[in-house]
Amino acid sequence: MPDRKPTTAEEATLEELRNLLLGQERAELKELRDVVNGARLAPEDIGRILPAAVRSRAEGDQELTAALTPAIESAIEVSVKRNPAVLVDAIFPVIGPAIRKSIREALAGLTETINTSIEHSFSPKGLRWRFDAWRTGVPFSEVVLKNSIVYRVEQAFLIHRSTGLLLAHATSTPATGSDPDMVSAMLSAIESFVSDSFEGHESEGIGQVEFGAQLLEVAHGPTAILACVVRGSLPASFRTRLRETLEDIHSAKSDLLRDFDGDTRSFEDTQLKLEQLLVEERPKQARRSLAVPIVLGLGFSLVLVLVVVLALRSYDESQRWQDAREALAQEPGLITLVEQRTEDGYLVGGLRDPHARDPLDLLDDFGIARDLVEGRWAEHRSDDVEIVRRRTLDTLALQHGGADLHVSWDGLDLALSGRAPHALASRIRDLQASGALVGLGALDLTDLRDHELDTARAKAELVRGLQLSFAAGSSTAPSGLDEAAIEDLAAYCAAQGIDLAFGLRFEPGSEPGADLLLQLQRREHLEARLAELAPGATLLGHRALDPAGSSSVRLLVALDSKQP
Amino acid sequence: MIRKKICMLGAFAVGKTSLVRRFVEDSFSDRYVTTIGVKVMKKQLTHRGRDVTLMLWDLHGDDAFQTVQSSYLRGSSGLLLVADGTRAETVTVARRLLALATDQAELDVPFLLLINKADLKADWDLEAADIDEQLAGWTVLETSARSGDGVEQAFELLTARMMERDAD
Ligand SMILES: Nc1nc2c(ncn2[C@@H]2O[C@H](COP(=O)(O)OP(=O)(O)OP(=O)(O)O)[C@@H](O)[C@H]2O)c(=O)[nH]1
Ligand SMILES: [Mg+2]
Repeated sequence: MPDRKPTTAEEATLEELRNLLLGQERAELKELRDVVNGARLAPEDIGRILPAAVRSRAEGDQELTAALTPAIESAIEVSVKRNPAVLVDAIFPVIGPAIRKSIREALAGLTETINTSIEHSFSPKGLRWRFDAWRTGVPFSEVVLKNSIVYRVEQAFLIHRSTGLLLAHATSTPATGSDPDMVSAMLSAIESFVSDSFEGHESEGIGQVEFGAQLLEVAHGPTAILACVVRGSLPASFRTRLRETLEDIHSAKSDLLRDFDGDTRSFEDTQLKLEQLLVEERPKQARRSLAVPIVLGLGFSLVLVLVVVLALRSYDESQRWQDAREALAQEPGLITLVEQRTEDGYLVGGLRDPHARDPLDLLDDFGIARDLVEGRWAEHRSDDVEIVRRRTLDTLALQHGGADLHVSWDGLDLALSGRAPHALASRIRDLQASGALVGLGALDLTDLRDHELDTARAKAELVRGLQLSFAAGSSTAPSGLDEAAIEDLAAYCAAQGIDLAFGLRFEPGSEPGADLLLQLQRREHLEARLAELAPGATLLGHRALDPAGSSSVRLLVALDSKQP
Repeated sequence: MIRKKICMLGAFAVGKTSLVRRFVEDSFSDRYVTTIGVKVMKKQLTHRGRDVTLMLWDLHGDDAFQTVQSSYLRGSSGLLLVADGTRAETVTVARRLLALATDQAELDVPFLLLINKADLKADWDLEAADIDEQLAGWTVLETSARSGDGVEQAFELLTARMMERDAD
């Protein structure tokens, strides 16, 4: 090629000439050259050939896979790091069934089978089921399940996971006091609580919540929760069904669930799916069959006993745990939200009233050692009758009652009767007035008597009887000195452990008396007499009753309690 | 049917529970029973002819013993921050809780600040002007759970804001 650049006109002419001479071939040549040089391959071109290329390569060997794997892996990693939810949402419908299938195979309804089979092995019914199993070739566990599981699914809730709002609800018992909106919200609140308190242990959320005889069975998806209120014992197959329904809903409504803004109309059509969950199973009525137990004979029974003994051994521990869980559920003041086995022991937790029993103690009763148990409890205030009672007695400082104090309960109403020391009695009245006795019903104190107040009143009565009269101008033996009364009083005070002291005083309005000497003499005289009548008593003061200082003197008892 | 979750947030004893009770049951009590954890109540109303169910999450007050956990806030469509006019520092707590909601719970939802206990205005510890200065751009309402003044309006205004947000 010459160095000089051709002018535009020259170039155009040349080009025309080339076209005339080479035409078709020239275009092909250019295309080929481009391919050889790897230049200007348009994305569309690659797009067109890529699927075919991959397919043909993959048929040959594994090299393509090997080449692509690292890239794909790191792409997934990046995606997960950026927002795991996207991937989880995408995979959930696939992974759910896979996990369940493997769990199902691994466990095969183990616990239920064992529980019920042990329960029924020795009963005539159990023997008949054995026979049925043997006759029909169906595994015994299946026969047991078929015969003994009774349950009813009463309500189903579809709940939006992040807001806790109810999306749809179905019920088989129209008049159930509980408000589905509230059930949804509370479940969601409990889950938040659990996820805060048990981070790392319970990321999956709560599986079951017990409400007395009822059970809330819960299945979780990424954006929705499906919960059922169940009575009776639920077969594992129902759990599967629950999850499947939830997966269905997830795949049908994934966009609506993700962008949910509170409008539940678009979920009305899930109602039908929920209604299909409202199933019920009753035990089949037994047909009478005479021959069976006898036919089975001794041999079979022996084999049975052997099987049962073996099963019982491994079963003991799980039975104890089972019993302990039930006891936890029954224990007043504890709301157990999590109880599960961990690799090296047990994890229990939930809400605990400060007056509830220590859960570790309780588990200990079932032979579950404290150091195997990890407990996580948040405090709450329980309304349970037993707890309210304990709390009340504790606040009143009456845990152990009192010798003279009688505590009687009627539900949440408390009646206290008998005698209490003054400090306690007034404390009780103060607490009653301040409303500090939370959860307590009525507090009846009509029969509660204040010990010291009573004593003081009794003394006051006695004192009133001691009226001494001196003859006018006389300082000696008042005529009416009631010696017996003073002796009585002294004895009474001694019995009560009270110091006895006497005082004399003027009636109001009277003067100390002009005749001071006379007063002093009277005092001396009284002192001497009292020393005889009530040794140890002191005379505190002495005042004449009337201005003339002549007639009577009143004796006062100073109650100076030795004991608190 | 529209359902919305609303959270009540604020320092302890500012009157969150009382406001919810006034709105839902139209009642009030002078007794202070502190909320532990969360208490949910429900209120149905109509907004421009549509039925709306509000699920009101009354959270425990923020104090040294219980700090508000962001997981309770998840999925809220609106927030009512509550402060107590007789305790100026509760406004600061409200601001901190809003920051928690936006940063940790990643909420970007309508909210109002309610300065409660308007019936005790004589004892108030803060001036409306202070608040406006501190909180430019916030909607601040005065309420009294005791007398009921401003309570319904507050919930209705928040509902309207949430519904507007959906319409956009
Ligand atoms: N005067 C007056 N008192 C109020 C008002 N609102 C609430 N209170 C009182 O303030 C106290 C606390 O009210 P709560 O509603 O329990 O407060 P809270 O914010 O829910 O408190 P925590 O649950 O502990 O966080 C109670 O004694 C109420 O009676 C009000 O508007 N005016
Ligand atoms: Mg409260």
